[in-house]
Amino acid sequence: MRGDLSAVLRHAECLKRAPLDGIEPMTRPIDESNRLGDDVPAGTLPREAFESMAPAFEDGFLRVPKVLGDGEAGPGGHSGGGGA
Amino acid sequence: MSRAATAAEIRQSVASGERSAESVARACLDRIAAIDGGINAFLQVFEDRALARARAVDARLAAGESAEAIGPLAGVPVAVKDNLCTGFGRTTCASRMLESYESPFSATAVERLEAAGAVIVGKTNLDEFAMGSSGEHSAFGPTKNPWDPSRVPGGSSSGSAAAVAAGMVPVALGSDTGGSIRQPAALTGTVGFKPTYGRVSRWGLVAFGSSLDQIGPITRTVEDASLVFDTISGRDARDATCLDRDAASTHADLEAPLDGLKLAVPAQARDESIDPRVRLVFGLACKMLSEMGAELVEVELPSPDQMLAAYYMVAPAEASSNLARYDGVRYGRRAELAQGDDLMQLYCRSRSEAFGSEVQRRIMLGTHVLRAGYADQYYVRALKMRRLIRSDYDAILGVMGCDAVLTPTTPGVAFGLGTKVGAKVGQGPDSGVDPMELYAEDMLTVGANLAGLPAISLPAGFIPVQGPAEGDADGPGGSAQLPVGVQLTGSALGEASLLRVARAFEARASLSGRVAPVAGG
Repeated sequence: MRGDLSAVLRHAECLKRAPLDGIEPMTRPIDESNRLGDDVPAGTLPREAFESMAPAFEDGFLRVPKVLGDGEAGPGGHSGGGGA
Repeated sequence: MSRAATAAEIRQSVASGERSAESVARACLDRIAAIDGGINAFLQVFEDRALARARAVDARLAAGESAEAIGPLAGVPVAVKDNLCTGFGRTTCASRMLESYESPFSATAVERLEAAGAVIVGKTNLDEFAMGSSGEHSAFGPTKNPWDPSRVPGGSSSGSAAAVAAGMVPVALGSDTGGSIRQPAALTGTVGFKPTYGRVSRWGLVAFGSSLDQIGPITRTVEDASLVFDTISGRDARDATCLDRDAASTHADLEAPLDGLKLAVPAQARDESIDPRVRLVFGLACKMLSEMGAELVEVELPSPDQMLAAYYMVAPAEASSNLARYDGVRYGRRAELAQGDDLMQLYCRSRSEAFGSEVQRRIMLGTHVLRAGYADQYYVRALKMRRLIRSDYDAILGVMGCDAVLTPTTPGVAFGLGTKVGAKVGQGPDSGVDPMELYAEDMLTVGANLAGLPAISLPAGFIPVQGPAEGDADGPGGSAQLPVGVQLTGSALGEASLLRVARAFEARASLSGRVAPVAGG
């Protein structure tokens, strides 16, 4: 993998030869991006939809292994509020 | 050379009562069952649902409703690339990560197809998370080219292109981040159309490169591409990057005459790295267009190397961010953990086990080029090149007044399975192959994505080849006809004009609409 990545990075060196001084970076192809919507409440998916797709869900929470060091939540720790 | 009914023809025959939508769907399902075992275009087929939807179209017609009221795709079978969410079946992205994922909603493009009367028959194979140019990077096995099953169909919309080329469906949706609609279309003799960035809502498209991704059709004719584009385009409040424009109406003017057609031919179109057979077909296409009255103008664009370099910095950077969501916590695959394993081990093991080698390579590459201390050297420089590319296209299509930029779509014809990714695809990230060899497949297509412009690939010729693909001693042998595509890139929001030019080319070339002769069909 290291060799694969090096090959791509070596290829990218060709950009050094391009006349890019003073050019503004272009992060998106159109200027109309990120149009704002109306500020009104909209529906969302029911909690059951998130629960059914989660690998582990319990009592309204996504279940994950311990986040902090030994003696904390243990294998049954919670990640925080339900939903995703 | 065999043909199969186009979407426009199916719609007409269903509307007139000549055929029922159910019989059309049944025929597609039968062909999929008969031949897809040797192609692997479909990851799922929705037989019962498709037949029920088709019968619903028939019932509406029988009740006196007009085909116009039902929609422009009434009774037309459609396949959908499996990185588009459907509120039925699974949405896998051809990845172990989402192998069992069931989306709670359908993508806007899918909703609009169904609202127009289309019948979704199944979901198609792809390179995992749309990362690849051969169709070989699928966790569920490679798709094969219907014109020669020892060769790749291109990618990443491999299954969509193969399904259309083999006559399993008249129309399929794909997504195009760096050529993923157009490149497989070129290698399978189909029409592949990437609209202007933002013209089709990306809501429900699993994100790869968010400033590059665009949904579009793969079809056997320009008319069908136009019909599907008109159906799926238009504003969508659920996608903040979707342009605030009405749905397109390109179909009505598709046959309008072209006056004073002026096409730009960049030097890269005749680059020596392009297969001489492709250059020959491209030269004949240029000659044909000249005979049609087009003025061909030589122009300069940044080199293919520079375009590829910019793309393979920007796309992995965006991918590394987008794919961070697959953490084994909220949805997708979670690794089995041992007692005492912590959250970091959950992340690492879930992602290492479930992502294939190409996806891992791009995530690591993207993460690297975004790192503090490296971003200016790689990512920011690529974004500057991106603006230069767009400026050059604008000069050609604006100041110079060219109607489109004409190039081959790909630097070669369909290559043998395993010949560019080595035999180690799917066997872990340490493949030891040079990824640039496969990435070079995209050298002529990434420019349109970086610039956000519409582009279409059209069949321009078929090359006879003998024997199995190089490097595949187990290939079927015999002779095959391999398609070659040309690409037209137009100005932003210039789809109507671009499709008219494409239609004129298609009418003169008389190559569209062919169906690959597949064993068992």
